[in-house]
Amino acid sequence: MQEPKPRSARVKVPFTLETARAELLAKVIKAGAKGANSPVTAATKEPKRSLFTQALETLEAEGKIYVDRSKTKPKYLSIEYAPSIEGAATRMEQLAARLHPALLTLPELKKALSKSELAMAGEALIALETDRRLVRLLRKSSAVYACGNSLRAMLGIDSQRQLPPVELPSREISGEAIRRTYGDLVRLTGFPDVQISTLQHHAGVPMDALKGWLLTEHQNRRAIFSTGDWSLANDAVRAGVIDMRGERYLLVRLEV
Amino acid sequence: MMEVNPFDDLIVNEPRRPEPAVSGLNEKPLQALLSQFQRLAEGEPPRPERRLTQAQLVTSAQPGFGKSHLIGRLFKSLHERATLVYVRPFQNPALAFQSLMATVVKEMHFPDRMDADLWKPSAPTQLDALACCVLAHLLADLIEDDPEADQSPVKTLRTDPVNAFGEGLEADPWGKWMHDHFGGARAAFEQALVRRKIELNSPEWLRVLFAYAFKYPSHEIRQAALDWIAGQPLSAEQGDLLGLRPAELPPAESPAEALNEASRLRLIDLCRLGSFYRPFVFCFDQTESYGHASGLARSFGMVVATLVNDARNHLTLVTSNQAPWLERISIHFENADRERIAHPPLILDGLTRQQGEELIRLRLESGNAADLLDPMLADEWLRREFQTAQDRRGARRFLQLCKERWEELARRPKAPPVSLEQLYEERRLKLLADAKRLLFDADALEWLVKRCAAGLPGLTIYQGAGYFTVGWKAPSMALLFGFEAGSNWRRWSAIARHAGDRAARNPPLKAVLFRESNQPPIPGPAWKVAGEINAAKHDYLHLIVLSREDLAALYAGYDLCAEALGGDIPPHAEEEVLSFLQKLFAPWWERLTGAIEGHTGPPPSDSKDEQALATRVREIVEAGKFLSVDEVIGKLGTSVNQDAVLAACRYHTAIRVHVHPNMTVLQWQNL
Repeated sequence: MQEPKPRSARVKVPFTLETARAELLAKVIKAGAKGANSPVTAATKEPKRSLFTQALETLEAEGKIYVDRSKTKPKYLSIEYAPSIEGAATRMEQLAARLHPALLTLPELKKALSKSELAMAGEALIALETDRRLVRLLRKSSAVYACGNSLRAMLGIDSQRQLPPVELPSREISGEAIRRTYGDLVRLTGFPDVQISTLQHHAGVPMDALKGWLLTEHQNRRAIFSTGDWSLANDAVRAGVIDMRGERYLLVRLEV
Repeated sequence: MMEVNPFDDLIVNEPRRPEPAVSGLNEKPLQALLSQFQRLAEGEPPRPERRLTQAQLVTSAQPGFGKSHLIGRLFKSLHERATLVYVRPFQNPALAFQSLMATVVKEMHFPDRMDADLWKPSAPTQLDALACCVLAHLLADLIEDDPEADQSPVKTLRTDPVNAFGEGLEADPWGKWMHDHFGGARAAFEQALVRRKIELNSPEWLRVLFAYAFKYPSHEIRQAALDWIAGQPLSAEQGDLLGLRPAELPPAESPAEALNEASRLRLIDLCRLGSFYRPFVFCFDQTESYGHASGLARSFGMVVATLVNDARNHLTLVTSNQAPWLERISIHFENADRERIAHPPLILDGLTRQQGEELIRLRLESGNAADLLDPMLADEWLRREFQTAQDRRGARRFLQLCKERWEELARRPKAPPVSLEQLYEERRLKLLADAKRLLFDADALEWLVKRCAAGLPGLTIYQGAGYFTVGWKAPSMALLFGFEAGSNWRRWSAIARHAGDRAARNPPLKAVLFRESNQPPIPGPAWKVAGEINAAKHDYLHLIVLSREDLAALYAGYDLCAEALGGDIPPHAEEEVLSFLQKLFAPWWERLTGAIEGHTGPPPSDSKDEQALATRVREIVEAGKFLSVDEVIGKLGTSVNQDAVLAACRYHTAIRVHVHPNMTVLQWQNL
């Protein structure tokens, strides 16, 4: 016959929101990149059901877990596995390196991404091009991409050497190149009002030079500024601000 | 003549209220939308089913470029040619279609009324018109198919269905014919529908439409029909009123997902039936609210994609500011859903100097202040704002500048920045004059207890499930909130039972549900479960019956918050508005967490008295053109308060309400 448990061991520990949060965090950390299933199943009874649901919501709201809803059943992951622009960029770069010397189109590069990362493909591509991790080439009029490091190695260029940014001296800023970059961005996003910071990022020109050029274009009636949404803008976007007549303009529309 | 700043109104809160338009401004997007609509509306009904392959996004680089104003112009252009549904954000991603269908049904239960002072509670509604169109065309098909039948009624049935049936009344010969023969001829009507290749998910539609249009003025029958169309479960008794057998009704205790799916199917069917009547236009405005949570945004994308993929005869329009759309909303859409939105979007522009000048003229002339035209149009002033002919200013920002200049020219002290108290009161008073808004709105009420209450001291809010979709853990007790719009006794009995179970397991606990004063009482007087529900109402089921004034007070907060999110009331951000509302709504928090109230709510309004008051108010404002509410009360010569006068204005779109810090003004503006 089994001995009765000591009295203290039979005291039921109340299941609280804190317990639910701790259990969940442990579960998602253990699951790693695969992600954990929801702790709430048909068999979960109240109050555990409500507490787990509340724990999931608060942890997601606090940015402690990431919920991947791209599958039929949501998966819960530790925040380091949340899709990010850098993560998407790395996967696109790795694919281009693996398939080098093949040249890949954007839809082909997107195949490296998970469903939840697809929305970040545009931003990731901008980052990759800016850092020369991908090199854009033209095949007829279509853009194709090669892995920067692989291409440089192939051409005998030292890939460890810091490449100077492709920035034009302010006096020699090429209006044509900026307008072309602007046109590409408009085609990519569908929006004619482009963030000045994104334009600078993509055109690879010094910010001050770009702002000076834009102000000249404005005076010549070929550029229109819009304020955009300051409250949603991060520091990088705000770096592109043009102050004029007491207004802060983050966006520009160019006549092309 | 009182002196009111003609530039005071900076925001379009209600797109159905007409506002003079500046020529050329955003004409291109408007024409693009009208031309898309024309593809749906070509020819006379019944039209072949038509489908646009994408929804249309209308966006602007910054707030205040006139998105809601564009919707207003679109609605004005399509008045009586489309069923226009203005959709505010839903709050519960799992019930998105329920929310949308509730909005559609509310809209269709009103008559068309844009340029009219013709609206009265007894006028045929848009749903009456749809029902008559469907049944008249099918009847005309049956007559045409019968070589021995007299063909003379066909033309009238096809060209003027509502009058052909004498508005569905038995006094009319065709109305009587339908009353006498619809039951026997139902199968023939259904076959006629099949011959037109209209395949509906629910075969009960013709019976429901017949009951709605031909059983006027039975409130119970019409309410049952509305509940069925919205996807609400019906009791056997309600089903019987519509001629539906119990086996044809979904179970009263269907889970939320099943009801949401029922609403989705009803929406698809209703759009298909639109080919007998006219196309739908769905306008999803204030979409910035979906940026709060990825689940909400994803669900919104799914709703739009479902409309595009599965529903016919509609134009779907989404408005958003560019930054939140790109960074907070569309980023959460499924790729396939994102592709259902036209690329590139329609872009709104700001005003050029020339258009700015026209706006000044329009406002001064409609405000009878044309004597200030010259100084308001001074070159020196305008040149400061528009350095080049290409420079553009957001309409709202420009109106703000005009407002300040007008104050300066009128030698009035510079007005302090508009406070949240003023903005809130302005919305509350305008809501009192808006018939379509002061109805039960589950989304606004869910927002109140979920988003607005978030952060109250000592309160934990969590997402619930089943009948109670929001829960509170307050210091003194636990609360469950439900948002049941229907009046099905089985469902209310289940709600009471579930509340009882939860209260027994986790005391102290109560369930709180809202009703509005014109909804049927709970429990109904003839319900067998009335005793059980009344007992629950005594202990743990708190039914809060909201008066029209209560609804205006709560929905004003909801609107203010949505505008802050859309950047429409700068510099006030959403957090600031929520903090203001949490203080303002302190009596509401007490009411929600306090003792269960007595069983009587505010009495339902008497529509005849209201109609008489509305007619008098209309006459007075039309004669005076520009009067304060106090002046109108003086001329009425009866004891009515400001809220009652504003409520009477809801019958007349030609009356514009201007709210100023010390006075509310009514302006006659019959455009």
